[in-house]
Amino acid sequence: MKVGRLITRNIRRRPIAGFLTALSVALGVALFLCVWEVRRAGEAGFQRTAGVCNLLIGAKGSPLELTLSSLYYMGRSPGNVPFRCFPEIQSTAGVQWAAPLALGDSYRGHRVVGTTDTLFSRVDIGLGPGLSFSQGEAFSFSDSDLIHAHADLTRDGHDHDHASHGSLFRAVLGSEAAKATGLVVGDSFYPAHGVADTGKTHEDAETKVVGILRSTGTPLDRVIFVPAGAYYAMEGHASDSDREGGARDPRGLSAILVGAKPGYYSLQIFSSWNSRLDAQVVRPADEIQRLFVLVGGLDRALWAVALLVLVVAIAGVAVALSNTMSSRSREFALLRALGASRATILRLVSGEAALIAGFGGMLGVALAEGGLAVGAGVLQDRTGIMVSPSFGAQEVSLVLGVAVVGSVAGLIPAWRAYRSQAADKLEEVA
Amino acid sequence: MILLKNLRLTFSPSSGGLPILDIEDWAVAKGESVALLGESGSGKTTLLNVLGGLRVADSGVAEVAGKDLVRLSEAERDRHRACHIGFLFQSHHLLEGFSAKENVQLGATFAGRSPDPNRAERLLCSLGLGDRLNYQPSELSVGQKSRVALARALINSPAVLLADEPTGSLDPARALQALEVILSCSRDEGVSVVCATHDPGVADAMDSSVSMDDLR
Repeated sequence: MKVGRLITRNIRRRPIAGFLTALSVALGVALFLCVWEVRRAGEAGFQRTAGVCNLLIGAKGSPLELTLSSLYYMGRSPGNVPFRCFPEIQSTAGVQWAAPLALGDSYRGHRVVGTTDTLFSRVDIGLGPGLSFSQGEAFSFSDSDLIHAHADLTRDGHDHDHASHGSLFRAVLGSEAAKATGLVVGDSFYPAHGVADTGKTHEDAETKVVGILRSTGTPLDRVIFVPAGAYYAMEGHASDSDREGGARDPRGLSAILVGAKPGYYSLQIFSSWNSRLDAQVVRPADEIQRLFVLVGGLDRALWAVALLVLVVAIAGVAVALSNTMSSRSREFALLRALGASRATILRLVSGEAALIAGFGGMLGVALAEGGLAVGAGVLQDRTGIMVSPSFGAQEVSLVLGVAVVGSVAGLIPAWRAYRSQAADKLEEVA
Repeated sequence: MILLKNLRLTFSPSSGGLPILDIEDWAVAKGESVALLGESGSGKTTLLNVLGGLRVADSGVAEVAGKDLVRLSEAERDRHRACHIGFLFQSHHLLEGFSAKENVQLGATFAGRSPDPNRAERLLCSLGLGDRLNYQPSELSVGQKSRVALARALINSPAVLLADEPTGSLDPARALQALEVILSCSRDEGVSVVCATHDPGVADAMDSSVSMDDLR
């Protein structure tokens, strides 16, 4: 009979105590892993989104506010940037693409964003340029269509006749927006004025769904895109000041996503545009990094709590085993009489601790991954964080790490067993 | 097989430095069985532990199965005990959660050599436990437990068998059977047996007997 078998048999002799101890470790591991996974997915999602474009142009104001409102659709936009910035940035050396954003409307809590079809063909979420569709296709509204529409608007000086722009009212839905609203290709809806639920809908802007994007794991999933021309055509948008953030220029744009050649060109655009008075350019990746620094303290506190729970759970293994040491002293004395060395006794106890902790670790990983798999949909719906539970090298390392720490914790009771005098116990019994 | 010379063991400080064992010269030959007599607390179990290497004498020689246990390191004593010495306890010390057969096999775990997989079964059958191989200790009577413990002590074919009241918990018929097994080991396989006992019947069955008072 091998020592390993002795260890498993010892655990099986006290199945309930062993299981409960392992369960406490499992809960600690599960909590730790959930925090880890959600944090990792959140950070990855934020960074993936920050990589949608390398530059972002918007009105002067807080760069972080501009980034959050334009890429994450959170908070309010600092205001509008003059429309002329759009053709200007397009013709700037080093700019590969530019996609305008016009924010300010919503539908059932989902932002309705005016843009051009450049956004669908050029935005890169790390899988190469362009977004793919699960249903339908992109609406057709190019950058030059927008420039012409804006020129018409400026020339006419008033809101357009909606009937003449009926073909503009098309929409592409992000995957979550489609799921939440229940809209499918071919359905129609009426966008509401403002991002809050004001009850004011654009009754004359019946918008038809023409495409639904595949999930990207970014805030794009929660958005409803319409042609920016349709945006201007909706009643009030080109003339009033209800545009999000207050309109410095009601015919302007909320932001412009820019894909610029990295290196010199990007730096050049950054410095030259930031010297202007009517617009600012930010690097979203830098802003998100700054955000992580800002929330770093909270993040570390969360980590500390999760780690503490894990440590307490593993210490529980040592406590549970320590509690059995007195009743097992005869067992150890017997094993010593049968020829087991003190080192073997040490291995038996710390091995038992390692096995319980390791089993708890595996159970914890299963609990966490199962829980995340079940709750992934709810988490994504409520926070936009897309977790993808998986069992890989990190989880294996965690289980092994917990087992090793468990065996180290087990050295405390093991040391008691190691030091006990077998002869004393045997003479005591005799 | 067993040779004690000027062996001295003192428990301190609780015993006030009085020697528990102080044996000038004592030997047990190969295949000899010796009954160790004495009152409770006279040091019989302590002497068995010294012979088994679980307790180390302060001075002198304690040669058992060819090695002086006083001079061996603890690891060497552990190995020597595992391979050459069998222990039989009055209270059996069977491990719960292990079947009768597994308890016997446990005796071979630390000997560092591959045991005969059928020896545990054969030993148990020879002790009348062929139908109890997979029983848990809690399912065995006191007598049956005693025989399982005896089989465990013999699993490694030890050179020396140290028995502490081996028949103390057995009925006369079972005691006789167990005693016969122990003595047959001594006679047939040359195992030296030292048996601590209060039972005059057991002492009479042994080749010789010695009182702890005479030894000290």
